[in-house]
Amino acid sequence: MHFNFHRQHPDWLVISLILLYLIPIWIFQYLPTQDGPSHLNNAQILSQYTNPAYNFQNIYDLRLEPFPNWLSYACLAVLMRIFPPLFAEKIFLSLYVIVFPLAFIYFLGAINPAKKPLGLFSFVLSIIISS
Amino acid sequence: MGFYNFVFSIPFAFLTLGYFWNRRGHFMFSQAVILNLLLLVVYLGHMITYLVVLGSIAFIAVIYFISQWRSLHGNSHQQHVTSLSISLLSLMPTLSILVSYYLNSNSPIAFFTLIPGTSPTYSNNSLQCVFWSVIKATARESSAL
Repeated sequence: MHFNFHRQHPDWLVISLILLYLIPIWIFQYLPTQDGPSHLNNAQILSQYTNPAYNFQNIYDLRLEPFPNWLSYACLAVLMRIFPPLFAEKIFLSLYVIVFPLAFIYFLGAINPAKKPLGLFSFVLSIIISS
Repeated sequence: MGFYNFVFSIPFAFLTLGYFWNRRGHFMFSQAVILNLLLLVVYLGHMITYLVVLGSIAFIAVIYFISQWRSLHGNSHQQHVTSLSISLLSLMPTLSILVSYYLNSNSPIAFFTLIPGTSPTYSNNSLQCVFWSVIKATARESSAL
């Protein structure tokens, strides 16, 4: 049995689910994460390290080594140079909500294009992973 | 400090595996560059995800090589060996970053360390103060559970 992803599960269904998933991120001021503030705190230090107003240089030694776990802090630090921290966190998590299903559908399409409808499970998977 | 990174590394893992799967039979240097950039993003995301992707790519490359070997003839064999070699060699740059980091560093994974004799002090209404209050409250609740 072969599915045509674009005929039976059109793009608008994926887009609609992405928009649905974005709603809780944007309608509440705070996100109910366990260590979200900790991430924002670290990213804020990284973002404002050279800013004399924060005095971080006299308190922390910065380590710019290529160890894992850089990704979110680098993204958040860049975003926090432009946006307020809570807004930056919302943008960052929105990127996750957008990129996750698209990456999963791309992966399934690479393995077997007929399996692309299974990409809709990525919406369940993304919640399970991030909860 | 791994949760956001782990979560965000997963879509990049899917992208990397999908990219490699599409090109597994005719993998060339230009594709190795893109694969390395993707692997670097996954590595900078989370080490566990990175190691899973690395192992998966090596496994796919070898299994695909074995499965195709008997059906190939003449020049195809050489092209096939080249493709496998480039696939496996393209895993080395990011792997060497990981190995070199863990061999040369004794300190924990952290962007910054507290300078001895100092402690962070924040004014009552600053954002950092709010963050610290939430972090401490979360720690208290976690230890109470």
